[in-house]
Amino acid sequence: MFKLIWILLLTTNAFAFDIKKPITLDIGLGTWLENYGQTQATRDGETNGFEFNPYLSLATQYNLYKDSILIPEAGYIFQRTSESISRNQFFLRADIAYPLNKYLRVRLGSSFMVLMTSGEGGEDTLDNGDSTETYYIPDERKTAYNQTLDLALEALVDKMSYKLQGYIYSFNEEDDRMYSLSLSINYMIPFREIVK
Amino acid sequence: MIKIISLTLILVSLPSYAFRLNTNTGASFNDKEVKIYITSNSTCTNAGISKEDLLDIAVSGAKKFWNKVPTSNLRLKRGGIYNTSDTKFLTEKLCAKDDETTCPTATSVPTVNDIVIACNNDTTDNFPSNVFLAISAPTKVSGKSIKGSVVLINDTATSTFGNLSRSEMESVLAHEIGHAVGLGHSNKDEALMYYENSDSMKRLSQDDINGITYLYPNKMNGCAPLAGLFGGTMVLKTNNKTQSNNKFNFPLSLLFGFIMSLLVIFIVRNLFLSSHTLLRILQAKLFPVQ
Repeated sequence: MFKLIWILLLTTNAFAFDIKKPITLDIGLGTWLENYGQTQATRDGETNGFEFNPYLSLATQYNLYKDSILIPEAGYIFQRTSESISRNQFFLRADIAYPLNKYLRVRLGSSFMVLMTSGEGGEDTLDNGDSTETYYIPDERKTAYNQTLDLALEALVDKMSYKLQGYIYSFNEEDDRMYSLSLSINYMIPFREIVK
Repeated sequence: MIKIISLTLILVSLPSYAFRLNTNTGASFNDKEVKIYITSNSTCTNAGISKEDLLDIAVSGAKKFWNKVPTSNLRLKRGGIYNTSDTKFLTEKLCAKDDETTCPTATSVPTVNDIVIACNNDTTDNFPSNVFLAISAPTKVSGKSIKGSVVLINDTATSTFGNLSRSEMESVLAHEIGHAVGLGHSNKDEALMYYENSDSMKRLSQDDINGITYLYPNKMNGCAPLAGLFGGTMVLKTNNKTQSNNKFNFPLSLLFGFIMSLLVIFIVRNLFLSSHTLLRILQAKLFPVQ
């Protein structure tokens, strides 16, 4: 009886035999260009340009269909913290990648962005014309959630990849559509090297 | 690698955020669709603009700046004319809700719902000099909820409001509307919420975006990936108004859901693989081949 159950279990599992194992585990480091070229950066009207806002990501690659690859990814964007206010931003995302040739591939996907803003509370006195006024520092954590449509071009060189990715917020609403960019270097570790 | 991490940590500590709030409770409008009105008795003669034009510019400024933030669900809309014959809007002091001891209701601008603009000529408290183009404050606040705010335009004899270009008027009114929805001043001089007006103010700074996102964070009505995963059914069940205020993209939700579904399938299949391998190992140990 015990052997019969055992065989049944193995048979059930056998149906899952054409499993796609991950090809690689990718570790990425890059810069996050939030709302690139779309926010006021100086009083003279210049917009924000390139700056280094580091982010880290972890991804895996699975063969999907023919040459296409599924790439789920999780990342954390290091945020600058100052003057009693801090932000934390991370994302869960997935792409489908399609190779253009041996060295280049395009990626289409979507991200689930989580942005947490919090403050220490308290008061601050700031200019108000010819006098000063008391204003208040946030004292709780609030979280904003967004979905983005993502497009990327990625260059592959050996175990490294160099990726330029765009994240379109409100892609179907022209009024408040904005985009962020990321530039990253990814190190792709073949999965068979990890699981020997 | 150590150098890269060290550089990262150094850069992370650079200062960047400075927005402040207008109320000590961090109050904001509960309804994320806030309408902008102008009082019917505003003539704005000294300000040099008709009330219809003033409302047009205020709405245009609100849309140009505050409605363009995808991480915020605040939606400012045209309300129209606010019918009133109360002359206190035109002549009395603007009082914030937490200043009631020095601002008795009988001699101050009345409280309102939503955002109401008026042209005001009080030179004692509101506009002691023409340095001030406009002032604003939430006048009706309950805990963390703003019920209504008033924006007053300098309509005194020395007002220079009418000398501004349309673009400057938009940014001035958008700044005041920023106060009306709960933001205080920022010490970043590139910010719209900086105390001083600039004729080069064309868009929000990142600090303004952070502030409005804090007060009105986009919520997407729950868990978007799950909604997408189940074919968007959760989205279809949500209230239309809330759905339109929160930036939930149905097609994007489906795309994301599709990709996430693939991911779940892969995870489940890999769990099968793991269990199968485990079973094979156990089998080899329990039932060794003779």
